[in-house]
Amino acid sequence: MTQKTSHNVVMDEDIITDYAAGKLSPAKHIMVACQSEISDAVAQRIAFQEGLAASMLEQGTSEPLSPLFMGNALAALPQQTHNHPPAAPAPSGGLAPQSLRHMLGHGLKDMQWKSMVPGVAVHDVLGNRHTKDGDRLYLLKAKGGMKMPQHSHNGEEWTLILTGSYTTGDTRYARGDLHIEDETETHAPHIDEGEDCICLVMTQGPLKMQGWLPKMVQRVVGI
Amino acid sequence: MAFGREPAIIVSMSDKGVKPPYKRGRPASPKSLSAAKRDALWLASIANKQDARALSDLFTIYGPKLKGWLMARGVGNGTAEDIVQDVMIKVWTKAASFDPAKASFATWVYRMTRNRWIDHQRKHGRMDVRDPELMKIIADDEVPSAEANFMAQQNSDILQEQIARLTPTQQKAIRMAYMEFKTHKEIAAETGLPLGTVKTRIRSAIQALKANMAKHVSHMK
Repeated sequence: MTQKTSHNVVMDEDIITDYAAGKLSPAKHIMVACQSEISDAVAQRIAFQEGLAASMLEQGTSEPLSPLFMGNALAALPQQTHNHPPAAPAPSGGLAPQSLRHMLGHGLKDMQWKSMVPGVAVHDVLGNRHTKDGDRLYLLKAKGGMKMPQHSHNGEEWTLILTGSYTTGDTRYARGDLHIEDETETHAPHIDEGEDCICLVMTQGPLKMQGWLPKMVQRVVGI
Repeated sequence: MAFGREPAIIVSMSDKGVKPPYKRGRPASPKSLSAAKRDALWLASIANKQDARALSDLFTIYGPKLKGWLMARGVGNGTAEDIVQDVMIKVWTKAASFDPAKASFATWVYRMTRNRWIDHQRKHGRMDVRDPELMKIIADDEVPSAEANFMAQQNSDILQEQIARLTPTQQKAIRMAYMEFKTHKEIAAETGLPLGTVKTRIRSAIQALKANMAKHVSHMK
């Protein structure tokens, strides 16, 4: 099943709700945060639901702070940095969302890519692609024109496109699109000609490659 | 299972659409505006005068709510207070960057707390964090605010009123979505409702609320 995921339209309201409520896993949370930086439409939908979540605090149970809390907290306050205007804005024109830049400590230009096969390189952001469980977050760079091996997933695969674009089936995914697939789907993304395609990818469990060569490669490189 | 991808099954529910927002109940209370204003004044005082008293006043109000939110998610007492304290320090150091035109303080501080909590899970969950530098921060507080005009008007009390105007089923759905730390799947299992129904209910309740808010704001202008 493919679905057009133009970021201005599609992102499921459920995901936004879970994001606002703090129910997404850390890796997914980061992905949505990154997407909201690229897409104003997504940012607006999130802002609404965050306001809502915040106002629900009123109805939640309060837990009294322990008697010493306030005194200790006030005593531990650091020196205020004086009236700085809001922190320096992100270098404009940067392609890495601020949330990602924070995690990496730099932008996409200064990445240390690990080459996997010719034309494809990765950089781990969170977690380990070799472990068997848990969400993993990594950047993937593929050369324009490449055809990625046919694969499906053991869990969900979320892909946020940062540069370039790719096509799978008859859907084209470009910057800001968040492409979500689950274990029932098999696909072979075709990187569009031209620019390198850099994506932030979250996977759960190892991908299931079709065909012996990709399987072999996977064994070696451990996607 | 796709994340919210199955066709939205339209299920019969007791929701008969959205209630007209202004049929009954009080008008938007000015009290609400003053809560937001009060918070903004405290923030300004922290930013301009290093007013620790204002910070303590803010957290006397919000601290227990935030701690309650965390503990409802299974966070232990000590950790919950650590997180609240981290957030308090952040409010202290970042007060100058607070912009009441973009979001209410409640939203701002909620977002920081939620992000800290996600960060905490990232550090202590099963996830193997490679680089300690990575621990620094997730999206942190400055989610870019491209809020539409009406977002600026939004504040907790107006929302509360609008929530109170929803049908009981819609209110319950909103509560499930935001108050209980459960996934849609868990809610479905617990209530015995099909997953699609749970999603539809939550979604339609949020839509109803959005519609009411939009009406409310155009009303105010």
